[in-house]
Amino acid sequence: MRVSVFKWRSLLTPTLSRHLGLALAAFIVLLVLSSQIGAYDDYNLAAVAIFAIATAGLNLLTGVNGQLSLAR
Amino acid sequence: MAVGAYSTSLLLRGHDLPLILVLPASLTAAALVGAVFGVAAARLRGPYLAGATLALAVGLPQIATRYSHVFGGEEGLTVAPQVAPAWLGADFPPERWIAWIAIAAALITMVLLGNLLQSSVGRRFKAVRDHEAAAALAGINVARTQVVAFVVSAACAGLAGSLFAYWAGLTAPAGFGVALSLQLVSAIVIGGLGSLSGAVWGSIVLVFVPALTGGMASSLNLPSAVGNNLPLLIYGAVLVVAMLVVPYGIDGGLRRLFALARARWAGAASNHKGVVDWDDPAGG
Repeated sequence: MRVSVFKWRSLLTPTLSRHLGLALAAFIVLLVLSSQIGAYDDYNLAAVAIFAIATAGLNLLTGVNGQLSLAR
Repeated sequence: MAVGAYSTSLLLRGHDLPLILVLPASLTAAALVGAVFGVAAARLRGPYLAGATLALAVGLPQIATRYSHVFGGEEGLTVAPQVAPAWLGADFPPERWIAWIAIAAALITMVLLGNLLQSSVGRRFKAVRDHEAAAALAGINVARTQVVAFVVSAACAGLAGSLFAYWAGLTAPAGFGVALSLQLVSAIVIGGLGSLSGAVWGSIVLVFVPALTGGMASSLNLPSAVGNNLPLLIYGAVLVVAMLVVPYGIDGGLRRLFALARARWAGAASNHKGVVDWDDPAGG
C-alpha cells in the first residue's frame, strides 16, 4: 500500500497556497465585518458559518459523491 | 449534527473542558457513528439510502427522549456560553466571540475540504458518483470510497453540531429533527450542488431569508396565523424561484454569468459580439 507523506514543499504549490491565502483573506474580512455589526447580526453570522460547515460536508457527500443523507 | 451537539453537551456537563478539546472529540464521535452507518449505507442506492438515513434522522432524537436521564429528554441539555478571553476587552460581546470561533472553524474546514476535493480522493469521489461500474473497472474501491465520503461528511456534521450547541446554548431533540436535514439539503440545492462556495451561498440563504422575512412579518402587524407562516412561505417561494432561474444553484448561476460576461467582453474586444461565427472562425 502506498503511503502518502505530507510534503512541506506542497505549501508552495498553487492549490494549497491559493486555498490558504483565500481563507486567510476571508478570515480577516469577516473579522472586520463582525466587529462592525451588531450582536444580532453576529449571531446570524455564526449561524451561517456553522451551517456552512454542515452543508459543505453534505455537499461533499451528495454533490460530489452522489450519496444522499437525511441523517444530520 | 445531533451526535456532535450531544457529545459536546455531555462532555461539558459537570466538566469545564476547553473548546479546543471538545470540538475534536465531538467531531470524532460523529465520525465514528458516520463510519458505522456509512458501512451500511455504502450497500444502499438512491431512495433506499434516503430511506435508511431518514430512519436514522427520525430515530436518533428518540434515543435522547428515551434515555432522558443521560440526554435530558425533551428539555435537552444546556451548554454554558463561551466567554471571550480577557485580552479582547471586558465589553466584548459573546455573540461576536462564537461568531469568530465558527468562522475560523468554517474556513479551516473549507481549506481542508477544498484540498481534499482537488486531490486523488476527490477525483475518486467524482468517479464513483458519475459511474460506479466504470470507477470499479478503473481500480477504485467503490464501497471504501463511499464510506470515506460518509465519514468526512459526518465529521463535518459533528463539528457543526458541536458549534451549534455552543451557539444555541441548548441541545434538545426538537432542534435535530428531519426538518433540519431537509433544510440542509435544500440549502445545498439552492447554493449549488458539488461546490464549496455553493454550500456557503446555501447557508447564507438558509439563515438570512428566514431572519429577514421574520422581521418583516412581525413589522407588518399581520394576524399571527399568517405572520407565523410567512417566513416559511417565502422560503418555499425562494426555493421554487431558485430552481426555475438558476437550476444549478446560486454558484452555478454565478459561474454562468461570469462565463457570459467574459464571452461578451472578449467578443466586444474582437468585435464579435460574443458569438462565434462557425462559417468564418478566423474572424474574417
